[in-house]
Amino acid sequence: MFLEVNSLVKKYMSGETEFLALNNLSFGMQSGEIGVILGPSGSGKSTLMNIIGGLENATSGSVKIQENEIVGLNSKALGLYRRNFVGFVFQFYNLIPNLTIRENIEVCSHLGKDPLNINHLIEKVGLKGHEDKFPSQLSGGQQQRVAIARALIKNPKLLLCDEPTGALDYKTSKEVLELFEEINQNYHTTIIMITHNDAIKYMAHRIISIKDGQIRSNKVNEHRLMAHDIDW
Amino acid sequence: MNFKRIWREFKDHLLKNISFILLVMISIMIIVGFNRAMDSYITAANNLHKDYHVENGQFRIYGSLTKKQELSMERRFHITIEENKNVDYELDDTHTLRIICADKEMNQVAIISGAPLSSEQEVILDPKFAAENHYEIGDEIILYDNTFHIVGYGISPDYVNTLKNLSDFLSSPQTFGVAYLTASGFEKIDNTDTKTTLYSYQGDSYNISRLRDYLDDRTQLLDFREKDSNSRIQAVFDDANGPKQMSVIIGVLLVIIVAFIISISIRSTIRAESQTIGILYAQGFNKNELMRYYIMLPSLLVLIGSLLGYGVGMVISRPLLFIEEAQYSLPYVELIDSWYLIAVGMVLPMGIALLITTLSLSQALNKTPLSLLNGNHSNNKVSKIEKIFTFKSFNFFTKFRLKDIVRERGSVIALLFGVLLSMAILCTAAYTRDSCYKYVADLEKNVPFTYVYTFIDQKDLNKYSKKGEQTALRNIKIDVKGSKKSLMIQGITPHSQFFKIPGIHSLKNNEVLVAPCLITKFGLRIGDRLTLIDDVENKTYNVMIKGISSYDYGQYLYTNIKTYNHIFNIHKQSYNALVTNQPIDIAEEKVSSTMNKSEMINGIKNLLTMVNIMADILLIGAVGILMTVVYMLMRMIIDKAKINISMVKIFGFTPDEVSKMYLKGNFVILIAGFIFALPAGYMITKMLYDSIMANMQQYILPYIKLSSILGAFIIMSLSYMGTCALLKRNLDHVLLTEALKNRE
Ligand SMILES: Nc1ncnc2c1ncn2[C@@H]1O[C@H](COP(=O)(O)OP(=O)(O)OP(=O)(O)O)[C@@H](O)[C@H]1O
Ligand SMILES: [Mg+2]
Repeated sequence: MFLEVNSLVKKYMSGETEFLALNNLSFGMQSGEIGVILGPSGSGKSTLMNIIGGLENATSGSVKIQENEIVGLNSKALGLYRRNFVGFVFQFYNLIPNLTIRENIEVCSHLGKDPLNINHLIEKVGLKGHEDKFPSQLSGGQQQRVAIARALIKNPKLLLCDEPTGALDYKTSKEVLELFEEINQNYHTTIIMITHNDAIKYMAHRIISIKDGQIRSNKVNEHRLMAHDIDW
Repeated sequence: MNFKRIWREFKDHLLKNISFILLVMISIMIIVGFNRAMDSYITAANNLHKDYHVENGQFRIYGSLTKKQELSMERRFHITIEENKNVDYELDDTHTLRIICADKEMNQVAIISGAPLSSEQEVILDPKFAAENHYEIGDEIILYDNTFHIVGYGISPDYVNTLKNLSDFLSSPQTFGVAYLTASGFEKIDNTDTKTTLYSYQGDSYNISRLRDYLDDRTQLLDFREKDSNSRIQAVFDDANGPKQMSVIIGVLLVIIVAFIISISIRSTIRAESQTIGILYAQGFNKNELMRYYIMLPSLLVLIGSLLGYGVGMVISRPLLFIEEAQYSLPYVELIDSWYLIAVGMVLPMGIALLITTLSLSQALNKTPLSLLNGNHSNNKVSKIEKIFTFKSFNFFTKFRLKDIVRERGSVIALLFGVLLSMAILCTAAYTRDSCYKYVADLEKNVPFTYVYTFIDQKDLNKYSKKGEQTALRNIKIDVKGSKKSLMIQGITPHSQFFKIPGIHSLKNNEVLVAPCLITKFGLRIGDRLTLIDDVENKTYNVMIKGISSYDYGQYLYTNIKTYNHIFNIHKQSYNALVTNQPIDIAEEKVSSTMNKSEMINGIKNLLTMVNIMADILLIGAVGILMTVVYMLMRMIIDKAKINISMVKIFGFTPDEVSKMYLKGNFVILIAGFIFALPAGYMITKMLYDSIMANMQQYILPYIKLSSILGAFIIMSLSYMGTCALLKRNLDHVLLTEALKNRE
């Protein structure tokens, strides 16, 4: 197993009352898989992803990446873990406004041990010719591609995407999804993607659905479609 | 108004808001503290002049005027003339008391403590001499074999600056003081046959110049001095004006920095909240309501800061009087509050704050709701300048930092200003301290004589000439930008044992060498032609500055005796002074002035204590300003970049790398500020000295030691490191979720 989540619990205190955002949740994923996480709003998707990505600590349970436990690590060790293992893509791109596209991507190339070739990657994500522009000069889809390139440049083993197409229209969404697919094939990056868009699950190797902080179902997708062929 | 909201905003950025209040407080405190103290002191001195009838001037003649002459002159020039009776009594080898007859119309004695004179057995002492030499009220003192009871301490307007000689730099209460007796008491001791007589006068200036001409024609006039050029009377005003001017300049610059900070902070708040504003706007809030919403906090902070500053300024104004009280004697100084200080201390900062906030706000609020909603004015915009400076050739971290500096150029400029100002203050402290210490050290090293006696009568000089070396000295004035300044000109004998000035004996015609301090103080240059004015003789002479002398212990022009005679067109022997290594035994009234090296040095040593304290105050102020300004501005930059910081943390950059990206390199700004601060410190010090020593016959050259520059730099670096440690904590506290919440 590349990723093993076991009896994961995340408690939030809101005033006097406890709230279980994750309630004894377990699942696993193989290396090189695309996993799509589905679930209603407030079900704990982002919480789960933030814990897997080392942005937050769990209350109890275990998360192992390639046999390494990350629950209970201190913030310094978590930082190191994120640096070496994880790339993030969010719904909102959060690019650094005064850096050019190339520089925004470059920021993260200093993190990995063997970063990808930046020109190659820019070409791959379809931003050739835009390298010297600033984020405010790009469309939303283009900005999201910069964010993806930024997450990929250090060649992470795990790419976590929280509603990456949430702010994009149909056409650009599909382009972005095709990009993920390509990356998965070329670099064997394990990808976990949170989405509200049910159709996206068809391109996944594994479909996980969450409700009230618990796994409702965890299925391997037997009939994968290419991103190009899915429709909604 | 929603005070809960304001309180929450205040709490959320507690340290930043407190620093801001502190900065406003320091600026107002400096302005109010110094101005209130110095204004009160000046007023007290003016009151003393008025209530105790200060003279308009004084003159000394050989012999004396008859009562009839006095009366006829008074009638003729519509003035009052009064003999100013005094005699110097040597208590021992080192202590001299000038005994003054206090039964006078002019320059009356103001009692500082104790009782006024009521009998001929009573004496009043000047408070500084009494304190230095432990004379208490009730003690007895023996003057010329008569016993007097000390009944009080007091001072007359003409001895507020208790100088022994008018050309002295500073008073030296350890060795010299004044004592006041009644007329009959004075008669008991004044058995000496004085050769010269001093008169004080009051009258208007047109008649005064006629009086001088009249005296010049009919008497042997030795000195004629209007009150403005009498440093015993005048120095206190020049001296109080120096710190006052300095405080206004520093205070105003601080207020400018404050204004800068307000505007930067408002702009970034508006930018960060542009979408919220857009929504409020779209829902029908009008500009004024929004304005009121955003104007509240900064106005409140400025109000609190200026109230505190005003209060603390009031409190420190009493101790600040010390700057003057260390040198001058005045009756109890009543602190006075003036309207203009209330205006400058409270209304001005509030006005500036309101103006700046309104301007910055209305600029932002003039945008349409839609463009605000779209985030067109949000933090994401990139300006033209940022597009120009690409910093392509730099390595990643440097490039990142440089781009951030360009982006935050407003804050960076304010930071530069703040560093410049605080470091200029620090350098001023170092300059004043170092130059005073150097002056003392140079005096010890460079004054080539132990005593110089200036004789009234040529015959006396001849009698004593074997005891030392003769020299020619004359007090003259030059015109500097419309005001007359006193100088000494000295003619030196060939093969002088004392004065070894390179090039002096080759001076011809009307050539002179000048002391270096004159070059700096009056802006003289080599090659300048000067017109020397002799007020006593009412004549002028011309000289040419040929070079700079190797001596620098006073405002002197040096030349050889032959040239000296040529300048003044003298054909007979012109020596009038004697330079010696040992004191000579001569009656006080036979010399018009005595210069004594050790007294010169002691006088200035008194200054050192004061300078040290002032330098310490400036040092603390400078460090305070530096730390608050650096902290606040850097904090604003960090707050603005919060999301980006959070983002790079998410990527896994270590805290060290994050601070490299957002903090490092600002030191360059500090170094730049420091480099400019050195000349600025020089200029402030010179301005201070120019004011304080405007009418003194001395000047201290601003000077700073290399080690002080180094020290200042180290202090700056340490303060910066301290501030950075605080800021690093702020960086570390930026949450990872900051970026997750962001919806842009
Ligand atoms: N910091 C927090 N403090 C308290 N409760 C929190 C916190 N973060 C999340 N929660 C709660 O935990 C639950 C799960 O939140 P989470 O963000 O994981 O939901 P989600 O599945 O990502 O929802 P959405 O699809 O709307 O993004 C929610 O009920 C939320 O209110
Ligand atoms: Mg979510």
